[in-house]
Amino acid sequence: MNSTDGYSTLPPAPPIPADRVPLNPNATISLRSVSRWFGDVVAVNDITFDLGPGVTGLLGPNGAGKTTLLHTMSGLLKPSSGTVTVAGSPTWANTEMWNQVGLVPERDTLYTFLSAWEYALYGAELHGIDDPEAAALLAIERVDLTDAMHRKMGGYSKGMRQRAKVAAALVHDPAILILDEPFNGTDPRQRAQMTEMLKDFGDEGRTVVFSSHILSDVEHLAEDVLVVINGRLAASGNFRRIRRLMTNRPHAFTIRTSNNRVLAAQIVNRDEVSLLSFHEDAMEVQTTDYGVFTQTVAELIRSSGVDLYELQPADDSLENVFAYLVAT
Amino acid sequence: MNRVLAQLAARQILGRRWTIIVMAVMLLPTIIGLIYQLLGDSSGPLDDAEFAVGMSGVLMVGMLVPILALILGTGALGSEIEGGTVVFLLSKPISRQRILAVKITVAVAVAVLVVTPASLAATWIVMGSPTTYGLMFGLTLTAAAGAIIYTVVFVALSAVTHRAIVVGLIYVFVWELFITNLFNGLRWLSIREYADGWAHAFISIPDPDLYDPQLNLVAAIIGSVLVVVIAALIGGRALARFQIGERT
Repeated sequence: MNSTDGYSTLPPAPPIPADRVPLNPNATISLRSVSRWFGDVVAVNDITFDLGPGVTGLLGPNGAGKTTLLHTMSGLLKPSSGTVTVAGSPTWANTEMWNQVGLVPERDTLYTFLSAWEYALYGAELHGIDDPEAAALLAIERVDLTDAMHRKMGGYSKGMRQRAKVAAALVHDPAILILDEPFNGTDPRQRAQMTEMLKDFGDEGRTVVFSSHILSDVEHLAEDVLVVINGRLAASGNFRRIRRLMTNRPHAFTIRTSNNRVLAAQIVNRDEVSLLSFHEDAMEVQTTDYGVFTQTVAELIRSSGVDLYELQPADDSLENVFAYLVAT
Repeated sequence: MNRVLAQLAARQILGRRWTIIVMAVMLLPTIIGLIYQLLGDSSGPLDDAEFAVGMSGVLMVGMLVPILALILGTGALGSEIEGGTVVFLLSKPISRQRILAVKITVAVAVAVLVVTPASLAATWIVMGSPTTYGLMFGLTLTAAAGAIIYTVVFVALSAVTHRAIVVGLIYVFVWELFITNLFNGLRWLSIREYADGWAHAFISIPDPDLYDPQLNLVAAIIGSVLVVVIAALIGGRALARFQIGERT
């Protein structure tokens, strides 16, 4: 799930411990066997993955360990075991890493007595940026908060607060952006804006990782996902590819042709087809073998002499993938 | 010293409602001094001195200064940790020890700027003179020393526990006011005694029973410096080890 775009400016990864999964040289965030427990409660359990430039969604039910995982990535929480490296350095107690990392925490952590302008400006100054005012203005423009930037943040709506947090996280132009539930409290228009903005960041070669429990938000923004369930990494990678790899679940396809019944007669007796049902002008086919079915279906359509209007996977939405993962 | 950090800390401390309330309460000794003068109960400077020493010891250093320090100390750091705004500071390329040092410096500066005029005014009004028995200077030195030590301790305490207010109140009202008064031997372990000792060399009242600190100036300086340094080190270590979400 890595590409090399924009990576060349970052320092090289640290030496690889012999007994561990090798670090991906393109990765900007690497976790190796990371666990974190609080007393008797295991919040994160033996998680290993690499993230590179691009947008990755961190998915999971409430309480799955998403925030704990993001906190360990941002060095604000020490893993109970395992290692977390960001841009090649361990994150825990590493203040230098903040030169390359921006964090948007989930909690409403704004100084309500400051305006967004002051907040971003203080942030820029604390980062030691040469022209803090220009950097602060750029960040505020980027999140489209210019009109309200001189108002106290205490009077902001939830969506404006989220954008103010993003502006403060962006002010030093970080290569890595970590966002915890950035869509919380945003209205549909703000969601669309946030989605576009995060996509742009990914396209610019930044590593963007964000958590969400709202599947449609993730689906619109990231093809690559990390799915965390009960503190464990249930799946990682492109979610459509993950779906295809779930061979224990039949795959469903919606097919619409000029004569569905003729085609149905051709395919109903095939071994890889487990279920066939009709819905208005389309039919749904479930197959136990994704590979064989996708190879043979075109030939069956051609031989049955019908015109094909539509053929598409019916259950490779992120929602289905997630539902299957949670159920297993 | 980081100017931006200091500015932010000052705005945060001074913007809190509790800071304003406790600053207003610091006018109490001055108001009591005015009432004392208006009622004209005094029969001479020794009476005035007894009243001034009592007011400073019981009200100012015994109660108001620690409460002010507790409000400023927890306002400087504790409320940031509780409210989560500390993440803004922790996600900057600045060492956590430096963050604590700036917070302590700003809170101490505010404490001294509030306590000093309050003590000067109250003592002057009660004594009717700024120089009699060296009381105005001496008692103000005590109050300012108390403000510095208590504030450092309470900012550091905020880094150690999120129950800093409760722990601080127990320390002030159980340890300082009760236990160290009950057992004389424990007075060596009292911030109030260290603060009192600072005035030892500057106050001379003809009746020595009126002002009799347990510690001399040297012992007070050593004790004060030790407490301040140890508290700052423990606080710095606690903030450096602080982990988000661990205390909730």
